[in-house]
Amino acid sequence: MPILECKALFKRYGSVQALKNVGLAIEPGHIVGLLGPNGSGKTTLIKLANGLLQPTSGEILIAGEKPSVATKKIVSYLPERIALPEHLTVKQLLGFFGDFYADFNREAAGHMLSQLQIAPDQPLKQLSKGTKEKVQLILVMSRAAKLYLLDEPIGGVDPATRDYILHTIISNYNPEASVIISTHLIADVESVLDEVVFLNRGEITLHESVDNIRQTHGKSVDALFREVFKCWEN
Amino acid sequence: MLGKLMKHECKATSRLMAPLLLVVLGLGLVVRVYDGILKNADYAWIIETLHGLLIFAFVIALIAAVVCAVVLMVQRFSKNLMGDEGYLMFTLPVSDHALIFSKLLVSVIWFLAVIAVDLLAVLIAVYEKGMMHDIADFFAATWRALQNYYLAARGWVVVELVLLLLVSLALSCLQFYAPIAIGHSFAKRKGLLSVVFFFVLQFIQQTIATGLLAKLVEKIFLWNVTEPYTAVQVGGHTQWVILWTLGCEVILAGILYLITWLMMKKRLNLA
Repeated sequence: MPILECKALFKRYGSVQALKNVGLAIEPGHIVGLLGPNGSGKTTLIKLANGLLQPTSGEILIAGEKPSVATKKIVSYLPERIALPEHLTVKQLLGFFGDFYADFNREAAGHMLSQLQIAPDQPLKQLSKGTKEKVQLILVMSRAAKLYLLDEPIGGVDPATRDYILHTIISNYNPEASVIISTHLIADVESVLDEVVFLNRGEITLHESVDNIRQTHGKSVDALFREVFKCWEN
Repeated sequence: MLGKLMKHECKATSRLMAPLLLVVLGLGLVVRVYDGILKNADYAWIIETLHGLLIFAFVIALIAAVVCAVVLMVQRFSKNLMGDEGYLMFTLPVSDHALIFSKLLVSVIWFLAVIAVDLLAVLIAVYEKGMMHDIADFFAATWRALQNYYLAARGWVVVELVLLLLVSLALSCLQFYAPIAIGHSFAKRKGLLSVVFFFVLQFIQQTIATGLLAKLVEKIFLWNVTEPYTAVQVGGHTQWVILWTLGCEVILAGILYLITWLMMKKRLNLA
């Protein structure tokens, strides 16, 4: 059974059609890049999978169920902004995640945080933006979820932090789970992806394995993305 | 999960409320001690002026505790659920009802704490020897007097009044939650629209309340107040008013809760 499935999914914001007739099936155990330019509908799709939005029509299913309390137990979500309460200390955040998620590995999270030399009693608000993002990522990736939804995990941080984030994703996710990484920074994530989904103006224009793209199109995913989403004609 | 949500909500709110309530109690004690020093002595005007300022600060603290509890209630709902923290809260494996109830119950607990602490602080500030005995006598006399009006139902009247207090406090929270939930369902000007919908809902409530009040007054006039009533009859009518008010508030709270929940379930639109 696909871990994430979209069936004729539409989402409209007023007069704007954010997603149009999206049909998608992601099998367990894959790392999938959800790629598209700004405003293509990536965040909308991820929000729908998390139950943060309701579809205008169609269905989105997590392990065969509509987003609900049950699916939230198996989905680990990294939003594109800092969502953690800033008055909490790092230690309190570990306690918070441990309280609500049965699959949260507190020791692993604590170990990664100590590797970054982040003091457990330090309030989140005293940390830099990049460090806050790392803390948030560590908390998310320390869960043994079945589906990880990472919305722009490497946007807005320096290259060294991007490498750290990608390394953390690869080395900590549950291998039987799927990871969906939404980003427009293709070159940085291409090496970790099994499959890619191109999203353009709310529609899926491509869903293939990375190997197939390289064999069929004879180019990298990044090069294909630039060609498909080119902003001007030569 | 509701317990865990309430635990974290209590921790988040006690950072502000606990020290504030301690300050209120502390000021009550300082006022009492200061009064004790000034009582039998003739001090310079500056000491008397300081006393006046102290009383002023104490009164401000009493009011500030109430205002802070209300502001915190609004801020916790809008920031923790409708702001960026909503991306965390709404993806926790908890129901929307648990999210709303955790905020509602903790807010009511703090309102009760503020009432209790403010009353205690005033008692401490005005305490004189023998006062506790007088207060105990007052409550005992009131309990005996209730017997005349409510007979065996006097216990129920106390329960009804306590319920009325609790429902009123919960209703006061929901009167903010519902317009905030509606306002934040829009893409832009969420704050402004929350204020607009607050006044819209207040207008609707006041219009309905005026109609209900008219019904109540009509019923009271049917009681023919010009004729002498027995204490039991007065008690019966008073209890009817309490239950009528309680019923109206429960229905109104239910409607506002439903609006809040439906907005969060169907129209959640985090930035």
